[in-house]
Amino acid sequence: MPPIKYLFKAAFLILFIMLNSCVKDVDLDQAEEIVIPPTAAIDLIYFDLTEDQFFVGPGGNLRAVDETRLDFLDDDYIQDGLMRADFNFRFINSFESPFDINILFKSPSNAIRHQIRIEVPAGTVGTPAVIDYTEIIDNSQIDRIRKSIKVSVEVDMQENPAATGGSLQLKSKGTYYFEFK
Amino acid sequence: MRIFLFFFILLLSFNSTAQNKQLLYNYDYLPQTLLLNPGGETNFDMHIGLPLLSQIHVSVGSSGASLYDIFKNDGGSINDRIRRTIHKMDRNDFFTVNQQMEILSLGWRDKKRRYYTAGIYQEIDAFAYFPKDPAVLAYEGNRNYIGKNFDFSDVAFTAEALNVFHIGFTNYYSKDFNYGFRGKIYSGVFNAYSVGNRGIFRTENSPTGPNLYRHYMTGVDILINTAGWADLEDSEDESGLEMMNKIARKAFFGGNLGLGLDVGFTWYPEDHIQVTGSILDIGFIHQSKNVENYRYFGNYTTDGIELLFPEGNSPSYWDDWEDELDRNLKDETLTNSYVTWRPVKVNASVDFGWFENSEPCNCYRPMGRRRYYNHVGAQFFAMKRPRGLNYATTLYYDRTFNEKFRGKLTYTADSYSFSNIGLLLSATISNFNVYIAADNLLDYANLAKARNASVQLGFQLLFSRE
Repeated sequence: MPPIKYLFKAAFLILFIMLNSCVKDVDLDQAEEIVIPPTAAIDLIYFDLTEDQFFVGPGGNLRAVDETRLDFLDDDYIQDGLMRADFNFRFINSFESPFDINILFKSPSNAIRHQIRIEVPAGTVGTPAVIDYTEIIDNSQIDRIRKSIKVSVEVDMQENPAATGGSLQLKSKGTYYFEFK
Repeated sequence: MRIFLFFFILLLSFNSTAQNKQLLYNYDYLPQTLLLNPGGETNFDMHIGLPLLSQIHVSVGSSGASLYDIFKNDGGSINDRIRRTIHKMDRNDFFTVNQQMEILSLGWRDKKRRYYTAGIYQEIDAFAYFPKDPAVLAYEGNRNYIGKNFDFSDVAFTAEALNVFHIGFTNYYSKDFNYGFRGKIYSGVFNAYSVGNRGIFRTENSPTGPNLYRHYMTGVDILINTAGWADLEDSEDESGLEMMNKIARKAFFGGNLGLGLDVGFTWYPEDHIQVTGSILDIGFIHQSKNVENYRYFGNYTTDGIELLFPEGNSPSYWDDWEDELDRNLKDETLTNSYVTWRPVKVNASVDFGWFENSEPCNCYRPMGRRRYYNHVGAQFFAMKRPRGLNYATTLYYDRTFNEKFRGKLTYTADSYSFSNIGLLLSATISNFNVYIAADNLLDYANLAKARNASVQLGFQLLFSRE
C-alpha cells in the first residue's frame, strides 16, 4: 500500500498539471488576421422593352429611361465589407436598330457616381443580337458603388427601326466580393 | 463579426458528452455517486456537503475541431485553416458547455439501511450543432453553390440555466439488490430552444426566366423559443443587484417550473460481480413565464427588380419589392408557452472486484457481502440530444488504498476521442472528504489540442456509525 505522502504528491501533481496546463504551439494573435470572405451572386434588374415604351428624346431619337433605388447599397455590410463588385449585363436585342445604353449609379442627390456605357448592335426578331457585358468594379473604384443608392438605365435607339416589332431585354446580376474583418 | 467567430472557434477547442461523469459514477465513497445512480451503494452513513463547494463540475467540448486546428503556429494562413475546418465539420458535429454546482447536499441512512438524500444544485447546459449550411453560406456566399440547397434545418441549439431541488431515496431490498429514486423540481432561470427548423435557400441559373438567376426561399420555418430572457433584456437600467435578485427569484421557484425523476439500481449476481444502471432527468419544464417565440417563415421566389419604363415618374420598385418580400417571408414574435424535455441520460456498468477487504463490516450499510480493494469494470453512458443519442464507453480501474484514500483511473472512448484518460482521487481525513477528478489528462499538457476538458471537485463531511 503506497504511503500517504505519495498520494498527496500525486494529488498535487495533478493539481499542478491542471493549473499549469496551457495552450502551446498556438498563436492567438492570429485572430487579428481572420477575414470572412463571402461572395454573393444576386440578380439585379431586368426588363423587356417594347416599341410603345419609347418616347422621343431631346436628341430627336427614341429613348426610354427608368430607375430604381437599391436601398441595400447603404447597408452596413456593403459600407464595411464590399471590396469588389462585378456587374454582368446581358442584352437581347430583336429591334433592327442598335442601341446606346447608359447605366448610371447615382448618389442620393442624383450625382453620377459610376457610369457604364454599352453599345448593343441591331438584331432581328428571328436572330436577336445578344451582348454579354461585365463591368468589374475593383477596390480602387468600389467607393463609387458604396456611395450610390440608385441605378438608372438610359436606352437610346440610334436609328429608328426599319421594321416595327421586336424588343430589347436586359438580364443582369451582381457578384459581390466581401471581406469582413 | 470577427469577435463572434473568435469565440465560436474558442468553443471548438473542447468535446463531446459533456455530462458524462465517468469518474464519479459507481464510486461508493462519494455521495455524488447517488446523483448519477439513485440506486447506488454508499460507504458512509451521513453526508453534509460544504455549501456551494460539495460539487463543482465544469465541462466544455467540441466534437469537430480543436483550438490547435485553427490557431496552430505553423506559418500557414489562419483563414485557410478556418475554411478547411468549416468543410471538415458536418451538421452533426456539436459544441457543448455544461456546468453544475451543488448548493446544498445532505443525506442520512436510517436503521433499515435505506439512504435518504436532499439537495439543491444549479446547472447550466448549452448544446449547439454546427450549423453547416448557414455557416458555409455566411463564410463563402452562394456564388460557388449555384443550383445547390442551403438547408436551415442544420440550425439546432438548446441552452438552459436552472436550479434543481431534489429528494432521493435508496432502498436496501436485499444484500444483492438496491434500487432508488430521486424526485426533482426544476426552477428554470433561462431557456433557449430552437430545434426542428426548416427551409431551403437556393440560387438557380434561370435560362427560361426573365433574369439570369432565380433565388428561392422554400418552406422556411425557423423558430427560436426563449423563456426567462425577455425581462432580463428589458432591465438594462437596473443595477447589478436588482438583476441578481431577479435571477435568484427565478432560481428559487420563481422561474419556470418542471418535474423530473431519476431511477437506478445495483445488483450483485455474485460476490465478485456488480451490475448497475440508471436513467436520469426523465423530466420536463413548462416554459410559461417571460416567454418569447421568434418565428420567421414563408416561401419566396425572386428574379430581381423589373423595370417597367412607365410614362412619368419611376415607381418605387425597391419598396414594392421589400413589401412583397415581407408579405411572403414573415417574422413574428409571440409569447406562447412551450414545454422542454430535459436531456435524458443513461448510465450502466459491470464491475469485477478482487483482493478482499477484510476490515470489519458495518452492518447498517447495505454491504453484507464481501468487499474488495480492487475493481475493474466497464461503463456505458448515453445522453439524448436533439438529433439522437451521444454515447461514451469507459473502462476503469478503481483502487482502495486504505480507509482514507481511494482513486479511480478511467479510459473513455466516445465518437470523437479514443484517448481520454481520467483520474479521480478522494481523501477522507476524520470526516472531512475532498475529491478531485479530471478527464482528458493526456491533453492537459497542451489544452489547445484537446477537444474536451472536464473537471469535478468538491468538499464535504462524511460520517459513519461505527
